Amino acid sequence: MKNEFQRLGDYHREDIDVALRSGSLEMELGPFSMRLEGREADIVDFLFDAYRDAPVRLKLGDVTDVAINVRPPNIIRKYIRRQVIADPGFIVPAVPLPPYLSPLAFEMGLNLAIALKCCRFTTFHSAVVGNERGAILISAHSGGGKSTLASALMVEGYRLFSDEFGLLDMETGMLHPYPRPVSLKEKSIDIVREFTGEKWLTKTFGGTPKGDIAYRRVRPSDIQLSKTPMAAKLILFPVFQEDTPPSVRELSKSETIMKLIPSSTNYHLLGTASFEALIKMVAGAQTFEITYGNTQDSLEITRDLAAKAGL
Amino acid sequence: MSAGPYSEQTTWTADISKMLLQPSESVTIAFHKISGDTHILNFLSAATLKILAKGDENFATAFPKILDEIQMTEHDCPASLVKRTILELDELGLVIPVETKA
Repeated sequence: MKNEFQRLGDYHREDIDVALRSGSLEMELGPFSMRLEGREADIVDFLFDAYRDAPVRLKLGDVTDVAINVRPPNIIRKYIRRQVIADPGFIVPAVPLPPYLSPLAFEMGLNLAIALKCCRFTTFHSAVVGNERGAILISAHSGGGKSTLASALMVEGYRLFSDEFGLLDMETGMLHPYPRPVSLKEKSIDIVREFTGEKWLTKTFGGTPKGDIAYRRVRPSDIQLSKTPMAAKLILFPVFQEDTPPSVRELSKSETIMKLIPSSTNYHLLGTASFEALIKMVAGAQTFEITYGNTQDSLEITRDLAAKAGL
Repeated sequence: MSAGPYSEQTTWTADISKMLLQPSESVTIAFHKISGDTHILNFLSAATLKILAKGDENFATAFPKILDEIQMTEHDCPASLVKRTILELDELGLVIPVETKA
């Protein structure tokens, strides 16, 4: 049998389980190949639930961009009061989690691996969606509403680039997709369920360090277009303030740049090329800070701004 | 503030080959290749960098050249403001003292 990438959901569960245990499962999304390893049945369940449309193969083809191993933190916690951590191959502080939260460890570990080891792109902590005319980069602190807004824009017809990363190509100044499940926390789970429908959400993981977490699945079309980068046409900095009337403030290019830099994990590391790409991206985009009190307001503002930006 | 000791006779220089300067609207975005830091410079800071990149100057000799560059008078831009700007640029590492005379 040829070692080609196939849709994960088309494999037998046993095959995925064996490949995952042996550390030979390779997934390819956007510009990254990922070597996945783990022994927890919960991860296999999660992969078939949240990554069913992702291309994988059972044997490694080459060196991968990142590797993630969800394993016990030590030999004792392998057997007694079992725990898991995500090991990305380098030392990072990680809170051990119970096995039923191994999918969460897996997701957080992958995020860390990309954020700290990806040097092909300047990475910004942001959500990105787009259409055939361009991309919208949404930059906010955790809890700022970027995942909820990105999910709402997916329903509007935008394709998902990423829920966590703006991947800026340093040569072209374009944003690359990396479509992984959208992480939803606490109240946003019910908000997204309401406009997306139950079938697009995974089960809810309770008792996590961040409260309740569920994931909005990626659509097959998002994955099919995951190698098609787009230029940013609109950059948004959403600010959620409960029961606040919606408002919009246009930002200067320089203010936009100074707001984006702190959200990057590798801007300083990559230096000149990173600066030039950032200048290029911001020059081609309209940039706004939007303040809103509910998702409907943020969606209406974004619709309006996107139309003005030619999206 | 400055990064270190200085006097009125200290001469200052700026090596703009170690910077990327991008004018943007009313400001200049400066990327410092040595530190990897990005700064937003107002018109006075940008003009100060430009003058100190052309040649070493102390506060007194830089002042009229900077006024000429920004086309302002001493009344609008007093010497103390230019001095403070040079010291702030020093603190950021964008200008450095060349020589301090006792």
